[in-house]
Amino acid sequence: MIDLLAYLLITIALIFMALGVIGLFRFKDFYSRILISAKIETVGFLTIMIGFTILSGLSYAAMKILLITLMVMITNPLSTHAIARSAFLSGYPINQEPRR
Amino acid sequence: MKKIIHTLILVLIFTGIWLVLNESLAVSQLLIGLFFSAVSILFTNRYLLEDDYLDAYAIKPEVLLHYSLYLFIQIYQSGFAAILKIIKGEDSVKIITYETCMSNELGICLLANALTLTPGTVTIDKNGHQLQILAFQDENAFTDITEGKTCSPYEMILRRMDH
Repeated sequence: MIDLLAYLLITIALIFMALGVIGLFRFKDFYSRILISAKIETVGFLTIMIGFTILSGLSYAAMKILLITLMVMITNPLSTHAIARSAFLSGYPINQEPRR
Repeated sequence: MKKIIHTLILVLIFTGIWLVLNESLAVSQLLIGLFFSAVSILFTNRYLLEDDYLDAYAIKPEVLLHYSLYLFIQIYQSGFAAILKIIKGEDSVKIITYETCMSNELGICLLANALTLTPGTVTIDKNGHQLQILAFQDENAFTDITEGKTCSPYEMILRRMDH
């Protein structure tokens, strides 16, 4: 039963990630793509890690997964922030479709 | 005395992380963990931080727990809202200049971190108490500086760190 819940969470995470990837292709503006990619990073990653933790049971592996999740949740926004900030400071306009 | 107790709590937390990483509860590992935890805190205080470790990262456990729980709920709430945006193809964004209600630097950084973790908002710049937030057009939790001052729910939680 617990395994089933874990697999369900992993499947939901994969659906979240797939929708995020669809969003990346669907949206044309750089900034909206950044906002959507943050969804894959956080919702997808968090859900899949919770799934893995449940699957591992009460073990060192589960605690390591939780530690990794905590570290990623602290450091992950930095990369998104750095990319968005560099685009903003270099004067990249918002709500503008890229040239093809 | 209070400082020693807080340092001891940090040493115990770091030792716990050491034991998990080494997958062992042996006494030797416990002693090595205690030693390296104490050394890392002393080293950080002495060479890496301008202020003391406990002053720079002072946050009440209950505030941290409340913040984490609220952030967890918000991540999923915004995640589902973002799915609707993907389906509808609503990709219009705006940049909000937002002035925080907080004076604590750690609190402002935690707010910026929470914003970037929440799907639909990314902090793109910080200048003193002002944050520049990239958000979808219909975002209304954070009001622009020109629209008047309101504190966001994140700030209401994090402001309790100051007291």
